[in-house]
Amino acid sequence: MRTVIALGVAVIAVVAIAHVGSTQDALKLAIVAEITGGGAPSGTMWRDGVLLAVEDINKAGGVMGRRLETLVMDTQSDPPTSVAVMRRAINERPLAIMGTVYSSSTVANMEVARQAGIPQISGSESVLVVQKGNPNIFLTSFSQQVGFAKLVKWLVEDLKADKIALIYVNNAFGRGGREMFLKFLKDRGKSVVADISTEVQQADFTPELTRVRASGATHVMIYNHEEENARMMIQIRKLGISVETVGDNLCAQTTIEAGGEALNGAKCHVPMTALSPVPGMVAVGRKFQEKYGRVPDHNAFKAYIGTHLVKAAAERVGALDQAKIRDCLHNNLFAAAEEPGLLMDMSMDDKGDADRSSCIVQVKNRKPEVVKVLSMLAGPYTRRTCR
Amino acid sequence: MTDFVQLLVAGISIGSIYALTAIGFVLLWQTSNTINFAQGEFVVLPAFAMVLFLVVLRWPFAIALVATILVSTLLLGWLVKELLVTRLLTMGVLPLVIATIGLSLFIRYSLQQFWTPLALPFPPIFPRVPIRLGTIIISWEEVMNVLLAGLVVGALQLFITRTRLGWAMQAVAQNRTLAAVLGIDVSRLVTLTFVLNAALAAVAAILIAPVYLVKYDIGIGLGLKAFYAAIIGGFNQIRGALLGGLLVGVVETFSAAYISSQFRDAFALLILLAVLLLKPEGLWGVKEEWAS
Repeated sequence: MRTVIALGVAVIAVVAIAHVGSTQDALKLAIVAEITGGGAPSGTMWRDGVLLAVEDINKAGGVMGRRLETLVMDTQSDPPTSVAVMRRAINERPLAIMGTVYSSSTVANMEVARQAGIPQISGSESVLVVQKGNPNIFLTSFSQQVGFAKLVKWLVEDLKADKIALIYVNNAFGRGGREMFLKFLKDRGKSVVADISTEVQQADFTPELTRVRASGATHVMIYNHEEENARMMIQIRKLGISVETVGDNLCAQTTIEAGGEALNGAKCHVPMTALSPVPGMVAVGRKFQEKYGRVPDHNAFKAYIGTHLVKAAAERVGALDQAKIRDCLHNNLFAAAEEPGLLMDMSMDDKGDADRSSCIVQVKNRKPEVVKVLSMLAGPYTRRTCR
Repeated sequence: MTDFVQLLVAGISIGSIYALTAIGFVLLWQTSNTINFAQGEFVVLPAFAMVLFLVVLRWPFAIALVATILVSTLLLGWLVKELLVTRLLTMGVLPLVIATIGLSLFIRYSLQQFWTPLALPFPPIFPRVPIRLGTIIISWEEVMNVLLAGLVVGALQLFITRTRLGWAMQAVAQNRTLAAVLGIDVSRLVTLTFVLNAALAAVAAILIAPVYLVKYDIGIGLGLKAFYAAIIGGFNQIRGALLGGLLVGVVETFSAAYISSQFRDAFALLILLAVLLLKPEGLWGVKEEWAS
């Protein structure tokens, strides 16, 4: 009997030690994202993008020989909830925090991550995120400051848009976009003929669209979240409003899937797309589709790239030191030749804002087709060694 | 003027959907003293059922529609009445109210968890070609929403005022105990009311889904607006719910167009407050004594 008990204790001890060993070996990445609520179209793409990147990184030997392990935490698309979730994420002592996507949430929760000193890789695009002077936040796509400079240039120079109406969502994401859109238009001596706000999760846009029609606009810049974009495009078609529709996430895959035929004809400046001519992006897009059964949108790519960015910075530093990783990410160029998971060369400035090439797409037959590739906004950038 | 007319049509159209949903509040309150806070989810569930039959299983529209109404009446009509209402009806209003809140959460988060948190597309039922009347442009959806809602409300009004079953429903609404003494099968009538409500919700779902998309949480706003509408119009009159629904739809459309989208809900709430303070029985409701 004693032998049996001793053997049992020994087995339990071996299993427990093995378990402790494996969890100590693994590096945690906390995915804090909008898994439910209005932001779910973006947040679930973001989550799956990180998961796919982690799978690829682990297959290739992990980060400095250590496996990555993920924790998925849902903010319910609610900024106050995202703060509480961020605190829980920090308790898990992850190497980095991946998220949030909603700018309103990121503005609310990024101070918590900064105090903990854990680098936060965000899918947000609001200029408000990088204007706060938080040295701990890094955008995996460019902020509206970079994105809208490119978008307005294309809108005015290529599309020759003159009478432009703006419809934006009244939150940190939308207001930040509006601020940048109006600024860059003003820099070119232009203004909008209608400046219209909408609410998150709004369903009926008839009043707003009636104002667009009354304004005589030839182009309407639509800057809402994906779901509202889809509803708005359906209502534009249903009301027969003849106006050229432009945007950025307007052509996101999730918008197209929800809005269907109504999205045909929409033109957008997008940071990345599965139909990009970049071979790495095409391959990741295909892999994502095979694994999750849906076409990835820019949020999935942002997450995939962001995860590889953490890996690239850690390996450039040569240590899992979060302060050094953070310093390394600032004012630095990361090349796809060095870390193929980055898919494209990207530069990060001192505020955590990114610059990289991007695409102009037009939706045809429910698919975004790339019509032009735009180079980085500024540069040339220099590569810093971080050791 | 063109904008005004277009906005009026749009307001009446969305108001028709609110009215269809609000009528459910009135029907259930009258026959079973149930304030159904799951009314929004009663619209969402048939919308998901329609997606299942029409989009996933690719059934023909007519068959999918019949199947949706059947599922809706069976689950949200008969089953809810048998499992929830029958057991709680004798305990007063509050337990039933709490139970319907629980039911709404159960439906909402089950759809989110076991189906999808994303908005699902729904194929257009009516042509997406706009109707042009001079400078005024309106959509087929708007016209059909108003026509169908009007037709349904008219038929319901006829049913209640011109048929024996309708008279029995009115009797139950006025005094359940006395109606039972007179030989009316109260339980059967309550079931019938729940089934009717579920069928109305299914119609509202099919009208709203092509434009607003199908998502687990669209019932929150819809249920709330319908609740305002029922109170504003009169919680004990079908015509009151119709009036309230149209009023809420028109007011929110005009306030969003001429003031700001941020005030869309505020004005509907202001009307609600004014009605509660000045005419608590509702604009078209009648004062009533408490009937057991």
